[in-house]
Amino acid sequence: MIGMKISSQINEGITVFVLDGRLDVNTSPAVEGELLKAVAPDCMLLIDMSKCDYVSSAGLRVLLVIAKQLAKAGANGALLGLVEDVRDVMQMTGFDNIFKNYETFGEAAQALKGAGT
Amino acid sequence: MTRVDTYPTHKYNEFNLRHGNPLPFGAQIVSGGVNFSIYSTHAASCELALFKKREKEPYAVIPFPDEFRIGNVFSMIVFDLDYEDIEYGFRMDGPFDFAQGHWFNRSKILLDPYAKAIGGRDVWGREPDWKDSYQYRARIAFDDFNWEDDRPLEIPMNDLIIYEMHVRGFTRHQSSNVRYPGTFAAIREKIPYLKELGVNCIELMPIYEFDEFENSRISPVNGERLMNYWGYSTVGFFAPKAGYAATGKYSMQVDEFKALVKDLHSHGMEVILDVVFNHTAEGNENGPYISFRGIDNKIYYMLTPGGYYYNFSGCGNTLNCNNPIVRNMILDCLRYWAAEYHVDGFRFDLATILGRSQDGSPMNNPPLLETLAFDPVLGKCKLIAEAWDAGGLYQVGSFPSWGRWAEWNGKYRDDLRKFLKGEEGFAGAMAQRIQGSPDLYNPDYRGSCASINFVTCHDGFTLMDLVSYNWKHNDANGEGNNDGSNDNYSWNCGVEGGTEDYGVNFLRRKQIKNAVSMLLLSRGVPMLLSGDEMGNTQFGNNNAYCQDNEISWLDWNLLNTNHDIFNYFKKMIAFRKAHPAVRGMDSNRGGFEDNGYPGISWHGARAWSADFSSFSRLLGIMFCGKRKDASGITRDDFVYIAMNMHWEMHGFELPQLPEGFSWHVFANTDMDSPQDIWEDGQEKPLGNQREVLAGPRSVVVLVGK
Repeated sequence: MIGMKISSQINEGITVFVLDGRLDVNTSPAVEGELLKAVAPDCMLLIDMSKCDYVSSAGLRVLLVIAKQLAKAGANGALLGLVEDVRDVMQMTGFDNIFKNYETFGEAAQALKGAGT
Repeated sequence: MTRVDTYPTHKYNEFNLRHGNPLPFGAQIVSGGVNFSIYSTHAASCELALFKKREKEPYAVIPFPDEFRIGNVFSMIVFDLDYEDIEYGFRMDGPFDFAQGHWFNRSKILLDPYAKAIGGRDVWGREPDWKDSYQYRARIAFDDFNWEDDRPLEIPMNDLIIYEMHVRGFTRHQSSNVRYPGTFAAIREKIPYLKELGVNCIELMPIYEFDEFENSRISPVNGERLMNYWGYSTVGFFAPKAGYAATGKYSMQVDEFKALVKDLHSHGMEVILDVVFNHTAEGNENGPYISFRGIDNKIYYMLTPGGYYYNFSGCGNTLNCNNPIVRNMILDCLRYWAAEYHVDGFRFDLATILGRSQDGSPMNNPPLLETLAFDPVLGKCKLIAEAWDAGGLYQVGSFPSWGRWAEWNGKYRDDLRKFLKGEEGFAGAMAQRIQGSPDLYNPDYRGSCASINFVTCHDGFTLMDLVSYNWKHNDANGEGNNDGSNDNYSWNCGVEGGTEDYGVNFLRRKQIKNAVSMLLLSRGVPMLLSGDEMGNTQFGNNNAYCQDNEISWLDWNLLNTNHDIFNYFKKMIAFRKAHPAVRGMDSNRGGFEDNGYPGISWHGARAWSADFSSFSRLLGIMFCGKRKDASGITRDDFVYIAMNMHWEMHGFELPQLPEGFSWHVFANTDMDSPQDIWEDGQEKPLGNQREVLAGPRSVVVLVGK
């Protein structure tokens, strides 16, 4: 079974999670658990997807749940560096409007900080 | 709080199990596992076969313990399954007795009739491994979706303009210029086009999982591979076709189709599904075991006393629609599409079969049709019947409706075609059709909303071919040109097929515009065939069910070639929307408006005097009603349509308008584009207010304002 490495760091006040691997039914519970721990009022959360080359139906739903929880907490989140195939899948399945995707950390940081003010 | 029934009670090898929930049928993700439930009256035992995705052999076969069966339902929860990456099937044991209708065979892996997603044909046209004993493989689908505030649109029938479309054919041609041609996702890319055209309802030819390779063969005529392109042969009633989804290779067809419905809704367009409940893909006595045959043959199919399949569908078998079990399955299925997919309505293929009893005889009050008419979940869904079947039963105008069912009005199509080609004596019939066929649909009961008006549909000639061919040209289908209808009422305008002759081509375009004028200015619900608005041709093939190639695919380059046709369609659709008097309500039928004019009146060479004789090819009609002008003030509105289907020019004396009103020309099909049709509000004043001249085989549309 191919797993997923989840790492995180705080950069410019933004909690950045790097998802390295496949986001599917096997790895989704861990991703959900880790990321939801970071959800707090006014937090800024960035999910670096540049090393995630596959997101399954379960994975899409985890991203949606995180987005909903962020919204509930009045916090902001974004995606970073979606690979083309994953971006296409999210668009075609209607999961593309839950998070905005940015190509660079700088763009994402600017947007997240801007949204919070 | 954790439920007490979320823990296993049984063990089979390494699998943890417990009693399942008999309802709902199918496979449901539950806390910690998956609930499997399947019905069979006559099976002695049942096993669950679990496969890793796309692997040929099951990695586990788990028998349903006897104590897990409740009534005739086998149900079981299996814990800790990797439900995204498995496929499942059932094996049933029971009697094999042909004369009694039993076909149990424990060696066969059977598809769950309630499978919500099906693998095996994930990518359209990819040759399957025929040695695989399990061809159509049930998968477990997520039911949840981020619908936000979407729901079915509930557009009133009077206001509906249906566009019948084949998912693949719509964008498969390279000229479509979309990212993933031939898919649900590609339709979303074309939403701006559909909005510009102005339609507000998309009717999709079958999207239930079917096998494009069913009866696949090489054409002896041109060497092309012939496929089950249309898909009127269901494998799984609850599953969208994976091969129609760009994401089908990832098993995400459910989400992709939902995203399409949501997007269409957000742009004001409904979605109607063409559903095929009259038969299944299991064919006749020589067909394959897919599902029903091995689960409970005698229940699911209509059988002769000797155990053979009745064939009212013309496709080998007939689903036993008025058996209570099958009835419930159909109801479950439609509720599922309405509730889970937010689908707005259904068009039932060969719906007359749904009104046959278990011995095949027509019923007076078929329970299935009544159930669907009154079902709470389907309460606002459009229900549209193709009111005939292959067994010779023709019910246009008499389909049991309970005031809910609409019908494809085959008589509308035929009468309009005959009138259009200049057959004499059809002015009277045309008058019936244009006012919503009150001779078929009693205005006091069902009314014109029961009439789905059309000139063309997937079955038959395209509109361009209707005016370009006298005869069908189906040789490419490899059936010696014996397939497809011979009763097309078409006329080639002087030359069979494509031609460079200017006069012939002008006449063809005129006839197309004549036809769409009549269609969009008729009461009832207009339905357009996708591609007619760009003059699409199937090169004379009137039964392209097997042609997965340029015969069927829309060539989007035609939008440039035939821009005048597109422009005419677009403006005529906008005109229909802008003039409530045309769409009409049954309440004012035969009555008078407060200005003293009748809501509908009939005319001819002389005003107020229509010629309904057996020699007539002329008809004038005036609609009177109200519309709001640009400043929002409600004013009287008059629309006059002069239809001259004679090959010589004729004058139509015009009814006199109230003081302050005068006639303006909105459309004249005898004129070259762009003088053939005008924008709403830009109509040109008519020089002679007493008479309008309609050129040979022409339609002139006037507005009184």
